[in-house]
Amino acid sequence: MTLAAPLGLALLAIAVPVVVAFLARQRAPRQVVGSVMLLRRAAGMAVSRSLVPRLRHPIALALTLMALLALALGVASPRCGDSPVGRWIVVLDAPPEAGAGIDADRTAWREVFGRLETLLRSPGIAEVAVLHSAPVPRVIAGVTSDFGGALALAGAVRPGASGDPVQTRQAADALCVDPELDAILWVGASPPPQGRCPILALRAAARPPLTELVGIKATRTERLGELEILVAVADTTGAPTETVVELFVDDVLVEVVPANTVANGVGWTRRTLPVDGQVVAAALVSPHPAARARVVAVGPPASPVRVVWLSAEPPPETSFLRAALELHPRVRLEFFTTADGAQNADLLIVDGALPLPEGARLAWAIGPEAAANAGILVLEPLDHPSITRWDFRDPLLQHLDLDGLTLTAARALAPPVGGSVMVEAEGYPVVVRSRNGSNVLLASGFTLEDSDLPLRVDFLHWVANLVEEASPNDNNLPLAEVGRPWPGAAEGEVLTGPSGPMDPRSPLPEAGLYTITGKDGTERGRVTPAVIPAPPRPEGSGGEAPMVGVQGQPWWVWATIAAAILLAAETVLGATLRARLS
Amino acid sequence: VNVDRALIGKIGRLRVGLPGLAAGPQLGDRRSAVRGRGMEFADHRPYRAGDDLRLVDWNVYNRLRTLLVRLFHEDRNLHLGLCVDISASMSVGRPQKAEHAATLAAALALVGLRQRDTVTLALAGGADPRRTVIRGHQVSSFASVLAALEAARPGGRADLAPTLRSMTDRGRMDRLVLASDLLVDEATVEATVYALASSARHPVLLHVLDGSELHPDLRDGLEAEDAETGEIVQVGAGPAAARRYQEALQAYLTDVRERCAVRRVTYVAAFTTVPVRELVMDALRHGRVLESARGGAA
Repeated sequence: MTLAAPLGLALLAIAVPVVVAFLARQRAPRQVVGSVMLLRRAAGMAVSRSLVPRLRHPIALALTLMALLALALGVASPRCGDSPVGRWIVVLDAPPEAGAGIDADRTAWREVFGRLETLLRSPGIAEVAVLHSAPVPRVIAGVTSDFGGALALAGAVRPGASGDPVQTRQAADALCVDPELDAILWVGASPPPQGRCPILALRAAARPPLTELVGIKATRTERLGELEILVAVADTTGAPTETVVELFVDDVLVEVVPANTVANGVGWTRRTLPVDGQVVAAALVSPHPAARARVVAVGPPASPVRVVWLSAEPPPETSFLRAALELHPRVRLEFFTTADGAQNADLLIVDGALPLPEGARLAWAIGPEAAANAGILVLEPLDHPSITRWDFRDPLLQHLDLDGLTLTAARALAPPVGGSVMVEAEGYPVVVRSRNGSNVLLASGFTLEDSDLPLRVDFLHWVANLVEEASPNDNNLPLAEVGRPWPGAAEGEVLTGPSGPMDPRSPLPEAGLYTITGKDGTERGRVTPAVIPAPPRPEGSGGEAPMVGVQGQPWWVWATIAAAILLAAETVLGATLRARLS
Repeated sequence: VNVDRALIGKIGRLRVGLPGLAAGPQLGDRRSAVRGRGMEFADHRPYRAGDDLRLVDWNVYNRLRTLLVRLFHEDRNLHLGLCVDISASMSVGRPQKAEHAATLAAALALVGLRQRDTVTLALAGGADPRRTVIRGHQVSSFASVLAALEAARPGGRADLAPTLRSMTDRGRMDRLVLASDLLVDEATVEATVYALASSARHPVLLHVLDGSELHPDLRDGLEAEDAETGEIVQVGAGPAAARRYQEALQAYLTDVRERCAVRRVTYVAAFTTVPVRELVMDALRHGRVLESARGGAA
C-alpha cells in the first residue's frame, strides 16, 4: 500500500478534540415538552448549532469519526497493489504561454522541467514514458526504465504549440496499464482533464488570458443558400475571455459574432449564413493583444443540379418558375421541346402534353395535361377550390404554408398505386407524388397560371425544396477542419504548404497557409494550423513564480462522502436514533 | 381526559355574556335582530299574499285602507361554540393542559346549556383521528359533552383552523371559545386566530399554557423533546439561557395578544397555574365571557 500524500493522515488529529468534546459533554435531563419552539429560539443562537451538544450520543460520535477517517484517507490517497512501484506517463503540454520568462535567464517551462527532473529521481517509479501533446499526441519516449534517456528526449521539447487536452489525456490513459500503480504526470500550462488514471500536474506560470481556435466546420443545411458554420474556441486560461469570431465569405467579412467560450473548456459558436458560395472562409480574432489567431476553412463545394424544362416552346423570361430556377446558384437550366436529350435530368419539369422522358431523378408534371401524359388519372374539374390540407411532413413541402392559396381552376388527380397525396383542395387531391425506384414523379392538377403560388414567398421555398430533393446525394461531403488537412483527402490530392507539397494526412508542422488540390486540379480547401504566437511577457509580472501543484486521487470524492455521512448522521439518524435509543 | 366534575358542580348561576344581539338557531330569551313573532312590536311592512291574517294591523287598515302586517322582535338563544385542542402538546403539564382546557370547556358548556343556549363542542387533534362534534341546546345534552371530553385522549397534531371552520356549517356563531396552547409557528397562529375571528361574532381564545412552559427549570440545562414532532433541542444551563427563554416567551405572548387584538378576539390567559374555578369566576367574568344569570356583568 502506498500513500500519495501521507500528510493527509494528519487530519486524524482533529479526532482528538472531537473525542474530548464528547467525553466532556454535559448531561442534561430529558423532558417532554409541548413544543420546542420557544426552547429552540432560546437555544438556537448559542448552543444547539455548536458541535459539542450534537455529539451527545455515541452513534453521532462514531459517524463523525468515520467521516473524519474517510476524509483523511481520501486526502492521503492510498493505493493498494502487489508491487510498490509503478509507471509514470509524463505528458509534455507546452503551449506558447509556457515559454514565458520568469527572469532574465529562466522561463516557466525551464522551471517546471527542473522540478520534473527532481520528481523522476524520487524512488517508487519503475518505468517512465514521455508523451508530447502537440500538435497531435505522440510518444517521444516509449516505456522505459532509462530515465536519463527519457529526460534527454523530453528536454528537446520547446513551448510553441498546444494540443487537444482530451485527446492527449486519452493517449496517456492508453499507456497507463494499472490505475492503482501508474500515474500521469502532466507538465504544462493548462490544467489536465480528468481521466481513468490518477494524475499529477506540474503547471507552468499562468499567462494572460489566451484563447485558442480548435476547429471550424462548414456544412450545408437543408435550406437553399445556407451554410452552417461551427467554430470551436478553447479557453485554456481558467478565466472567461472575450473572443469574437469573424466569418468571411469569399474573403469578404460578412459577420462578427462573439464566441461562446467556456473556462478551461471548448465552446462552440454556431452561425447559419445565408450564402451558398464555393468558398467560405472563417477567422477567429481574440481582442486580447497577446493572442491573435486566424484560421481559414473552406466550406464544401456545392454540386450542380441539372434541370431540364420540357415544353412545346421555351418558357418566357417573365416566367416566375424560370426566373426562380435561373437565380438558384446550383441550377444548370436547360430547355427542350422534345424528349430527345432530356433524359437523365436531376429535375425534369414537364409543361404541357409531352411524353415523359426517362431517368429523371425528380419529375414535375405541371397541369392536368402533363399529369395525364405521365400516367396519372385525372378526375373531375374543380371551380375555385380552396386548399384544405397538405402533407407538411413531406420534404418537398417543408417550410410551406399553403393556407389561403387561391386556385381559379384545377382538376382532381387520383394518386397511383403506392403514391401519396401531397395537397388536397376541397377534399380532392390536386398534387400527388409517386415513386418509381429511385425516381420521383410529381403531378399537379393545376398550372402555375391558375394559382397565386408564384406570388407568395412559399414559391421560393417550393423551388428550393425541389432542387434539394433533385440534387445528387452528397451528404458525405468532407468538412473543413482546422489544424489538420482535409479529412476526406483522397488519393491523388495534394497538400501544398509553405515548404512545398506534403502528405495530406500528415499533421501540419508549422504555421502558414496550406492548400489542398484535387486530382482535377481544383482547389478543395485551405487550412492553417491554429497557432498562437508566444506573447511578450506583460510588464510587472516578472517575479511570478511557476505554480506547482499536485492533483492526486480525487480526494473531493471522499470529502463529499464524508460530508454526506455527517449530514445523514445529523439530520436523519441523529434525531431518530437518539430519540429511540435513549 | 379527566374533567373535574366536582368543580363544575360548584359553578353558580352564570350565563354566557354577549355584547350584541343573539342569533341562535332556537327561540330563547335573548334579544335578536330577527323580525318575526314575539312580544315587543318592532315595525310594519306591507301585506304579502300568504301572510298570517292575524298579524294584519286592522286599525291601520281602517284609517288608511292599506294592509300592513305587524312585525315583532324575536328572542333567540345564543349559539356557543367550544373548540378544545387535545393535540399531543396539550398532554404535558401538571395538571395536564388538556384536562385544564376540558374542564373549562365543560364549565362553559354547562353554563350555556342551563340557559338553553345552543352549544357546539368540537375536539381538535387527539389520538383518535375522527373529528368529534357535539351539538345540543338542553341540559340533557351536557352528558354527551362530558362523555366526549372524558373519552378524548391527547395525541397527534391539531388542525385548529379547519376544525374552527367546520363548526360554522350552520352559520356564524355568537360566541366561539378556543382552548389551546397555540404552540405553533407564527403562520399557523395567524391562520388560527383568523379562522377564530371569522367563525364567530364574539370569539374568545383561552390560551392554555403550563407552568413548566412559563418558567422552565434550566438550572442544569435541558434536553427537551417535542411531544408532537419528537424533535430534540439541547438547551444549555445557566441564567443566560433562562433569560433568553423568557425573552422568547414574552415576545411570543405579546405576538399572540396583538394578533388577537387586531382580529377583535378576546384573549384570556388560562394558564394551568390558575385554578379553573378562579378562572371561571374571575378571568372569564372580567373578560365578559360570562356574566351573572340575573343580568349584567359582575
